[in-house]
Amino acid sequence: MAGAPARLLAALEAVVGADSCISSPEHLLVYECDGLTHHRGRPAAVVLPRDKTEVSRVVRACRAAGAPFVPRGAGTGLSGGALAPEGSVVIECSRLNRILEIDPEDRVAVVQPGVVNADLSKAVARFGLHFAPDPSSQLACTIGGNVAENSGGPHTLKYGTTTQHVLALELVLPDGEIARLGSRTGWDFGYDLVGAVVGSEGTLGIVTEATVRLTPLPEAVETLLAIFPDVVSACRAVGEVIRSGLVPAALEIVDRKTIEAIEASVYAAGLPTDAGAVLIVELDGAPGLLAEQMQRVRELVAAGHAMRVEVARDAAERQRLWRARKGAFGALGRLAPDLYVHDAVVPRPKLPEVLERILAIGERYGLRLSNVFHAGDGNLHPNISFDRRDPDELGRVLAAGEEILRVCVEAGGVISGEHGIGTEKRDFMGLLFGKADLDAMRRLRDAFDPEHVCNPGKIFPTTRFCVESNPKARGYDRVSFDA
Amino acid sequence: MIASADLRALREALGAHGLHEHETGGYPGLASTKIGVTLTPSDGAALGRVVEVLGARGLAVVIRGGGSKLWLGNPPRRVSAILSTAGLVGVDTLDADEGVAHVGAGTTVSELRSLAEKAGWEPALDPASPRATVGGVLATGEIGPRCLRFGRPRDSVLGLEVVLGSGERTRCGGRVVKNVTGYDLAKLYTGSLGTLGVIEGAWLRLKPRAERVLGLLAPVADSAAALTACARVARLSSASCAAVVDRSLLGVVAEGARATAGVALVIELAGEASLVEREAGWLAAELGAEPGKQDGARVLRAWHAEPPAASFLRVRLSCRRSAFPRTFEILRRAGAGVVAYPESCLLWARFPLDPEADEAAAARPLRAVREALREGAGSALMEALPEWLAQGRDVFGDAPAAPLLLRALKAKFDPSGVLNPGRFAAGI
Repeated sequence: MAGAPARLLAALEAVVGADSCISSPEHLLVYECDGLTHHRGRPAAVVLPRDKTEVSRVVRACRAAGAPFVPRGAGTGLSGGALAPEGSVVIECSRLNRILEIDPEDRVAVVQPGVVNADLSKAVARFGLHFAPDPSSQLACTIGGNVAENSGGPHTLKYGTTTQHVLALELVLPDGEIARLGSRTGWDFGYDLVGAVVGSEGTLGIVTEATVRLTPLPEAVETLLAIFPDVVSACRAVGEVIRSGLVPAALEIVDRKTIEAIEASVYAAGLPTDAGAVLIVELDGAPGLLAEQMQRVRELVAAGHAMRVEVARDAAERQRLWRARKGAFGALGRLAPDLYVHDAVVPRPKLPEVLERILAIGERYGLRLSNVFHAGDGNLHPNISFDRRDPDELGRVLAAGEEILRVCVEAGGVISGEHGIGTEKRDFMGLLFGKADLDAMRRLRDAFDPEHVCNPGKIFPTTRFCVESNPKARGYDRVSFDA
Repeated sequence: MIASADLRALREALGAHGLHEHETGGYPGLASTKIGVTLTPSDGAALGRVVEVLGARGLAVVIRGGGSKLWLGNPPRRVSAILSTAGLVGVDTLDADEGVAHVGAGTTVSELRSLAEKAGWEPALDPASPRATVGGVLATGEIGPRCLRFGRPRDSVLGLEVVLGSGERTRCGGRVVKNVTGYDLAKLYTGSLGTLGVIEGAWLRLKPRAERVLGLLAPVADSAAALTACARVARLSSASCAAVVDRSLLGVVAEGARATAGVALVIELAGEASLVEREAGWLAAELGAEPGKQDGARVLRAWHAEPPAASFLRVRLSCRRSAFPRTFEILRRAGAGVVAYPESCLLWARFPLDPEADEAAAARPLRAVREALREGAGSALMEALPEWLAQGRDVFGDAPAAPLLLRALKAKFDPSGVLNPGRFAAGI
């Protein structure tokens, strides 16, 4: 693979300094992929700017050299959103890692994009506040990445995804200009540009500052573990809880295979390995109200054939449960060299039926498939453990993955609930959207980035009509994969 | 006036019943414009066709849902006809298991509400007018007194069908409650005042229907105490509305009760009956809240619905939470009646004006609004203003953020300027 042209490299070094510009092939290896390990591409260079001015100057240098650029947070994304096309420059935001302001009165924090999600919640906990989006990768993933992907997490059921928690953004546009969108109050009486940028997978610009909403920590929390003979009956119980009108903070299902992996790992929390699935129900709110609501949940899950119910006795037990739930992907990672974490959403009432079909697909392809997911949102995560060096197995993984997406779409669902489209699912966009629909998305893209140089090759299909209608994108859409 | 060849082409696109010629009428805030044609497509396909014809013939339309907020925004630069969504009606899906609905844009929120309630749900939309349509509430991003429970309209939208200025029919989002499949265009369309596309239909997320709704009124000493009290109300599980009203409204809401209080909280609880009872008891003990003599939320809605007149200026402002007391006082001192939702960072100020007055008379209110904006670090929109004050003025303010981006978006989504041209900021 060709390295960076000397002139581009010199221009980048002039902005960030030689020590903050990576271009040797062995160092670039680190940037070959994100959490989606079977899509790979090596950038020409990686830069680590220190402030927005440097980001803007890097962008201008890339434009002058005709090089596309890719913003990158912690690289924990699961859809290839941070994948670098050949000849591109990765703009790593890890040095933009300061919390600039915490205002407990306004319940607002102003942060740079490289701030780690969990660190922000930790920093504001002393004011009785937290940053509500809590993806499983929150110990590593950054706010910039959360903004790009509109990240969710278990507690989005009650608190919403990242888009509901971003009030204003500072953005380096693809021409190098710096724009401020939104306001500290969260209101801008006009086009909701913040709403358009959140979840745009880094294709509309590079966020250099985010003003985010902080949410009061709940006064009381109760967490219950309902143990079911199988995953389908756990799904039915979720439907009953939702229909009851209760709004739990989280409703999560972990299936038997995932429980086994968790219990064999450092995340072991004493989950029952004889269960077909467990359902975690968390309620939060005023202390006086929770006992009664918890009782109703108990009744609902019992009526839904729960084998038994356990309640976390204290904060430590609750934390152990969540560590197990959020560590599931890490635990599953021990089972095979690679883990494909799928992400799709179906209407909640369809969960039991869709899960049965997904399990059958896994069996038919002879794959190690497990499920751990945000049941309350209908957000499935079928996980496939595999070895990408085995071409036959990889082929089966990809074929099964496509079938899973088709089943979810047939059920009225969508192909991503929180991981994004990236390179992973761009060619499946046609399952949901027609030419005019994608064209509307392209209009938004064109308003921000007419030349498609900012994180190219993501979201939009690479199929013929797409390239035809946008010839400019052609040169950048050739993302190389070693699969 | 619209040329007869244009009329023929439009009639062809719509069918004979879709085009209605009538007595010419002025547009609110733009009395000199005479509009004598209303276009009413009967379905999405007809909507697409008619927008395409409009674009090809260089015509422009104002989009009309229930007609309750036509005055919002700047008067459009040019108007050939009214494009009505009255033919795009109906709730074709109401999934009682999932709590989602698909509705035509021209369906009134009240109709959707009555259907949803029968199924145990309610739409999280709270327009001021009973005429308001789902499409209109989404296009204007209208917020109502129940914003504590409902959030913003954009939070309810799961997916949209939108006809762009080119006439292309498009979809975005979906019917599920969590979705990052492609750009979140629904956010962009919601609140864009119909300047980027015409909403044809929407997938909405519903809220579980409240078993009991209870309005309460609590006196508070001043705006600082009101802020603290609102924060306490907001933590209740059943709180749906926590509005602060000043003395000028107190009489209306409370029929003269507690006339000594400086300001009052209009509170509404909604949820399970036992929960509402318990939380009402807590509010009575902690804040002295009592059931209001009138439905407070309804009184507030009527206040918000007041269309523009020569006798007042109404401004919507956003304000950071901690600046709320100061902002409230700035506006009140300048003679405004104020309704505020501090937990949602929103205030409305209504300044009485002498109908005979001129520009100079508006100087004091406008100064107060500027001062309030500095204090609150927010944005302002002049919602309702006399025609003389609107002359040559952008109701969104003089300097929108990122104007180049805003213009580029308009140019991409509505290249011929068919849809509500000039109604949004900066001539967009």
